[in-house]
Amino acid sequence: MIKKILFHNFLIVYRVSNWIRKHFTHTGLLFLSAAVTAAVFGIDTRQTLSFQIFSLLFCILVISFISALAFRNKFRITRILPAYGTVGEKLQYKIIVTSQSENINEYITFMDELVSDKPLFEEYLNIRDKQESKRNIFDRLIGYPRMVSLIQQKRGAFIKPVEIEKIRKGENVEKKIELMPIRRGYLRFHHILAAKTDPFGLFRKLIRVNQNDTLLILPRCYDFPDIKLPGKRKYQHGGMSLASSVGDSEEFFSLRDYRPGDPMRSIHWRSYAKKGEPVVKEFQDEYFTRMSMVLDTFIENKPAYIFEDAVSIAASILLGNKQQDALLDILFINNKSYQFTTGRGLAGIESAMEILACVDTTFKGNFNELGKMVLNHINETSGFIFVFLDWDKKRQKLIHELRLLKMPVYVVVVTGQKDLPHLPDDPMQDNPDYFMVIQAGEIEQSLHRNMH
Amino acid sequence: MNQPGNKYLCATQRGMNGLALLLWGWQSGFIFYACIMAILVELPGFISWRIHIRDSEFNHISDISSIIFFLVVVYVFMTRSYQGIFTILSLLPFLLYLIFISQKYSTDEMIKPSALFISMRRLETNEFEDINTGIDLSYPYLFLCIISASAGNKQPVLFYLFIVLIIVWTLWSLRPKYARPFIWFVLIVIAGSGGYAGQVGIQKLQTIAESTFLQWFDHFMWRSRDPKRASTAIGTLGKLKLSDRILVRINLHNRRLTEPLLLRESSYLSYSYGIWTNFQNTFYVIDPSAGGKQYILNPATDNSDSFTISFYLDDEIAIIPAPLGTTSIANIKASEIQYSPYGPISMELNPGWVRYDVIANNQVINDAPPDNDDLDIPEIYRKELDGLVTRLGLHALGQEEKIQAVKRYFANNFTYSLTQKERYPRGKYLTKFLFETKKGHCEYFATATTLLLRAAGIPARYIVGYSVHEYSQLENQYIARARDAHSWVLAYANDRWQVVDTTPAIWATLESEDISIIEPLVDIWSWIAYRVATWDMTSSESGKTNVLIWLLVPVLLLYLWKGFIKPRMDASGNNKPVAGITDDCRISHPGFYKLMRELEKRYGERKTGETLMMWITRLEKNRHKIGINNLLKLFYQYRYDPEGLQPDEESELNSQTDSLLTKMNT
Repeated sequence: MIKKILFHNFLIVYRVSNWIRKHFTHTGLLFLSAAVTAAVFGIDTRQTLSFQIFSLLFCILVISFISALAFRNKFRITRILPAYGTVGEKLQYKIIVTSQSENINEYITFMDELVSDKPLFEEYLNIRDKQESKRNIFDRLIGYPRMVSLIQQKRGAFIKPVEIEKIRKGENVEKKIELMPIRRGYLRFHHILAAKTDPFGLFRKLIRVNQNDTLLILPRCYDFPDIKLPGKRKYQHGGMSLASSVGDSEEFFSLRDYRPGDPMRSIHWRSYAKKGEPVVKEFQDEYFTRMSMVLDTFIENKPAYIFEDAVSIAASILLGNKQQDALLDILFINNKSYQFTTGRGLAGIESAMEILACVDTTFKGNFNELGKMVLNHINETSGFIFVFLDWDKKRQKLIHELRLLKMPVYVVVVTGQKDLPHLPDDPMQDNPDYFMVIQAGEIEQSLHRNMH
Repeated sequence: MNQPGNKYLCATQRGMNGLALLLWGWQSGFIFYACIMAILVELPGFISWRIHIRDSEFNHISDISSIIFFLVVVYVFMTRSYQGIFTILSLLPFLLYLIFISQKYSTDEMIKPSALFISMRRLETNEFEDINTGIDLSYPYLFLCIISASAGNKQPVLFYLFIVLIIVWTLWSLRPKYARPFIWFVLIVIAGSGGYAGQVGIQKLQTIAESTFLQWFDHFMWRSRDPKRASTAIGTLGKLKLSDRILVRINLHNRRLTEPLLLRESSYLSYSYGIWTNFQNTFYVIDPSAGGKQYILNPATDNSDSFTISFYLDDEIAIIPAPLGTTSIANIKASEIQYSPYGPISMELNPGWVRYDVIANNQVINDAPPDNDDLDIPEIYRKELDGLVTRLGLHALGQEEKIQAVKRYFANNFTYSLTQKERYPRGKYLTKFLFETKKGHCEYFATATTLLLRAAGIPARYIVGYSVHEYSQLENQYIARARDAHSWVLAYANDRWQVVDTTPAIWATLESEDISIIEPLVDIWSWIAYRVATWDMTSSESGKTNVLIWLLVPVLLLYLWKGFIKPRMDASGNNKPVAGITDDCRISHPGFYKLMRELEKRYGERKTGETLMMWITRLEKNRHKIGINNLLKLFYQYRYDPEGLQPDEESELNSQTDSLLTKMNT
């Protein structure tokens, strides 16, 4: 109950502070803070002369506010965005600003704005970012920095404001804007704020220019070693086409004479016309390597950055897959089961990366669902690569079952703990080459350690 | 010049911080230190020598500053209570100087916020989040200095001019590139003028607000006397105004006062910046005697007088007013009564009006004997008071003569005033009262008399309480209002404590000058409330319980009515307000009444105001086949036709009713 009240209050506080930060310059914030302090100490005019300072600063701020309202120009703005961005890697994009007003505009600041969905109470309760353990007890207990972090995560990126020194009517001015993505998925640009301060330089009048755009931010990738599972090629019912879709098509092999009982749809009509006798198409069952990468989305109260690192690992495995002739399925559960197949002319690497960019954690769900999905897939796949968020009993049980079925598996565990707990009957104990532990937040170091 | 949209504040221009420090030094009386500090702050502008200070070293400097700040805050609040906030305010430039001067002499010339906030030190940052990017403390320190200077509270016009100068300079140095000087200048003139008018308005607003709201909030703001600390209004500007609320009622049992009766609440020993304290006030529990009704404080003396005092207790434990030389308190059912050798009496009781009998002889004051604290004079007044003692030639006089000389000195040279107009530095108000203005209210007189007597070698204590002089014809007893709160002195001469009240006798008249025109009405209301609260107060028990008991009477009656009487009446069927015509038919035709009751049971009750005809029509519309239209017509005729029914019609009514009843019952 208290947390819910705090949550709603924090939202209000954030909105107010956001409004203040957008509308006041740093000098303005200094004057505003000084005015508030002077008001506090000057509440009894008999005790101090602080009320004089308050009165003067208040008048200055009011005049500043009124004179800022004189800024009433119109702009047209176009964004030129790159195709993709990557989490944690600064990128640049362009805006082209066209002034539609008669007068010359000087020193206009442009602030690009991203849409941020309203945080949910459940999200606020569950979010644990990397900074959480570094905050003091008060901040951890009360949780305002957590709320700020959640809103920033939802927004998705930090964008630096830019300033145009002079722009005339009809003139196009191009400016580069720097953006730092802090999460994967789509960034939704909504509007750009054009800001100009008053003659004192304290208060900004903001003019909103609507311009919707999206930018896909891909997960961060690392140099992940090629995984060579001992899996054999497997018969794929329906061949390549059915590897990722449903239907009754098979792989074409050759032509032969018609035999009674052959289906009509197998007749090759061109050859029949040429030869004068019925000729039918002969098909061959296909055998090829098909790997499955299973991404664990069951976060179970663990910090969100562990999952982010797991997605990065999955993306790195995907990019590092050297077996171009093999198929790679991506399996995960996000409220329901998902399966995407890549490789050999099916969905491209870009589509797979887009899927990984948008995959989310599962709060409500049973890990057994993932187990069922994996076991249903066992007849089609040559081997499994697991990216786990934990190495607990239920995950070990799944691996154990697969190994009993002689299914080759490679397990990567992304963990926030320094050491994994040693459970008896660890199914990967006898197979350390196919087991890797990645320390969340230290992926590069962990990979380096594992490779050496 | 600051760029619009620039992230950080730049450093102040040369001389700005120095000027702000000098302003602070002038206002707060630390001009010597302020000059040195200003020179040190401005020196880096003339030399190129700097020290490389690492972030971790800045953290240490900040931590040391924080510890010093914390210790000072604790010390000041412990010694000066909440009033100490202004002392802390005036000391802020000292307390934060170390961190600021470190930044000025550092090679980076800026400091990371993590140095100031420990919680930020472990956080990771990136260049896009400006949470831990270096900041220059020059401007924040400048504003700190001018706000701190305001605690000095002297020469308001000159101070305003100085802050206008500093703030205009700040704005000029930070103005945007595109700001046109003419427009900028016009706006700054408007702001400066508006600011001046605004500060005058704020002062007036406070005066108006205080006089308007004082009466309203008096009840809530009133607090029992603190025996350890008493804040005075010394140094308070404007006209002192206390409310007319009656707080004490004194019955002298048909005696009349020839001079004001002083009721003491507490005694204090040490004075500092407008606050009297007595941390030696230790209370001892007094055991009751004489059947638990009497509390003996001091041995009984001859020529004692008896008083019955009623006092409004705002808390469960409170200091009560009692005449000087109180020997016993009786007729009160207090949970506990405690007594301090320094005079105050504490009582534990239910809050509200309390009444108690007091036996006292104000000629025999058995307070704790004097010690060194009763001769203590704050250092800042010692020199001036010693000079005054010498000038008055008090050293050569005997103890009693000294007291008389001091009384004469105040009577001949000082006037009573409730208004203080001039602002002086803190701690100087008493000196100004003694040597320049020579006018003030009772707290000035009592404080100055206490300190002057001490300077003359007479142990003296500062006493607060009430001066009772107003007789209420309405109540037939004496009353003391909030504005009758008074302070005076107890001086120890010739081995006994005696009252020394140097406040001119006119004070009571002046205090009552501004009485409200509705005061008589308020007094009547107050008297009624007092009577209600104490109507059966045979002991000192608060009257609230009795009022509550009487309030319970109507509640009990209602409960009896609803719980016992009404259900029985309903059950007997004598008073069921079902419907008018049904009642009529019960009286006129019991058979038809039974039929109606059966119909109601079966199809639901009639609505209020619904006639039988309307009801039956409604039921028929709802597809209930009643078929009593003929019967109803017969009943209407039977009930309302003055000629009534023919015998055959009456027998038909009876037979139809009976047959329908039989049909419905089967």
